[in-house]
Amino acid sequence: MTKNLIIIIITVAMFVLAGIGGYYFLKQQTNDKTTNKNETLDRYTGKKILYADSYHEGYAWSDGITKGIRTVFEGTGVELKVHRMDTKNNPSDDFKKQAGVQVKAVIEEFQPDVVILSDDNAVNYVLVEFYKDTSLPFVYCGLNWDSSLYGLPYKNTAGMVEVALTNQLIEKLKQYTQGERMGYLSADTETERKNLENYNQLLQLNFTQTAFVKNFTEWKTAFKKMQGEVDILIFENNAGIPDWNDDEAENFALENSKIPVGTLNDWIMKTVLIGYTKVPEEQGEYSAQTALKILDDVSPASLPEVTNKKGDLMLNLKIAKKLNLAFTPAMIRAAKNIIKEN
Amino acid sequence: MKIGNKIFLSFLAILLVYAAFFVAREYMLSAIRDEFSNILPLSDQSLILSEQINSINSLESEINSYIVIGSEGLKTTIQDYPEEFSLKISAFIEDEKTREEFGMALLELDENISSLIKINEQPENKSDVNNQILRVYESIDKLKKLEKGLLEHRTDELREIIKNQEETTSWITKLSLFSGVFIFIIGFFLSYLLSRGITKSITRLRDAAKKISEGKLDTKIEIKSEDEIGQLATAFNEMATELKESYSGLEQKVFERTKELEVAKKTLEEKLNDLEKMNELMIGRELKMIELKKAIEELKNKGD
Repeated sequence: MTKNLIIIIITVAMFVLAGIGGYYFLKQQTNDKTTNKNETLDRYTGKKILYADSYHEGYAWSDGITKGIRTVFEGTGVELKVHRMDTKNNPSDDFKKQAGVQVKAVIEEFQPDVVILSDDNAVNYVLVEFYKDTSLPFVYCGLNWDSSLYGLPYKNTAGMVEVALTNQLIEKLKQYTQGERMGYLSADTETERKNLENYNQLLQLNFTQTAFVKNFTEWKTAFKKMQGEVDILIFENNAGIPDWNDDEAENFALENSKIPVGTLNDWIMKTVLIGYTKVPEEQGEYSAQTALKILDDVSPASLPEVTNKKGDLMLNLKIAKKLNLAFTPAMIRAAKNIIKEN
Repeated sequence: MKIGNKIFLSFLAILLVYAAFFVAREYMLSAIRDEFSNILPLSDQSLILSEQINSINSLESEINSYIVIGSEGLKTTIQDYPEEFSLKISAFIEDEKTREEFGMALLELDENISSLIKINEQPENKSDVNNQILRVYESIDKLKKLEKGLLEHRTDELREIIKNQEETTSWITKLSLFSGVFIFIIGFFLSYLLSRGITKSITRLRDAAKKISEGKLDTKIEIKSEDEIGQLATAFNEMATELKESYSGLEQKVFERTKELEVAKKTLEEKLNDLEKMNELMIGRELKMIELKKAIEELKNKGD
């Protein structure tokens, strides 16, 4: 009797266990479909990344980089902290140094696994000042033209250098002219003169005519003069022309444009035919993706320094009409912004 | 109730439970089958919409080619596009508002393509093409947006169906597992009750038989069931009663016979005693005779 009872109990137990096991197996299989994705996405849970921005929130360039970073980190589980140094509004050296010290304090308190720095001030006053070849990995972006000016790259760094997409812009302008003569026009500032130097040295561009103007009248004179003396004109920047008038400049450009004019800054798009601007999101996305690679134990020193490649194309159909010029359909399609005819 | 009937009823109970689960499962499966019938038209429509979106992309490249190359074949292709598109899509747009929107977008595209061809063939100003291409692209984008909206709607419906089916399938799996366990438990419980009832009665019968074999003929079995075991118990009780009665008569007879034997024995003993006494008497006389004979002999000798 006892033996039989034992056999019955064992049979029942086995059946119940098999039932429960089968149920949980099927349930697990169903859950696996949804949890596999989450496991992949949440693999960086507990990892901390600090993003120190040289500038401030609301500044389009900084906002674009931040957007790019956030897009990549979304759903990864990474804890992101953003710190703004606000050096655009406070350009003095003392402020920049103090801002660098503040970032150091934030790093010590937050204890990030990787630090992302954007633009020269953050690199100069944080990385160069306190963290050269330390164990804390850094990813920099938005660093203008040449990182070797700061002795970069270090053993603990990887980064993207920000270069103007002047070559690409010139290639697009060349489609609408026969000649090769290139002119350069900009407000007379140290930055723009430095830019021209970089175009010549780093991009091997030879401008047959250059003009740095101090006021609006000078700009109009130079703009009009160059229409007859070069085949392509790069209008770099109006920042630094104190009496600049947007509406007047637009009308003047419309009346006097005879050659394809291009710019790298979207805010003077109404005065040129083609604009090609850098994409801040590219810098942010690169930085975040590189930070994730570092979190995957890739040494930052093994990652090559890169330059930005993406650009937003802008077309001005008003100027195109004035020049009696037809863009290729592909170009119109690729344009992010188009200034339409009235 | 007979044991066979009990087994049959147990089996029937299990069968009914299984049938209930089977009906529930079939009901769920029928829901899946119903939803499956909706999948096919939806997936067909999604396929047509995807093809149309690809076709719009092709239209873009054909417009590009037409502007660059300007062939008559390309011109015809881009001219005919809106009509072909309308025929394929309008068949499954049920919503009147959406159909109207599609109609407007197609008309706009048709007009813009016609204008583009006209401007491209006889341009007053080369740059006029820019604006017209832009208008064509805007029409295409509008159409694409509407198509993507429809496609998303179909995709959402398909997702909803698949989600429902996954849920139903999950329920069916749970139901199958649960029904298996439930039927097993019921089967086990019923067979336990049945076997327990049989073995308990048989054990009582065995114990009763053992007691009777020990001579306890008053033993009775209390089994009230009406099955074969109950009948057996009744027969057993009757047998025990008869056995007792039979045993009681036998004892009386033995008693009487014993008494008779005792009387006979007593008589025999008395007779034996008398016989012994006579024997003793006979032997005494014999001895006296011998003594007398001896005395006579002695006397005779003495007399000689």
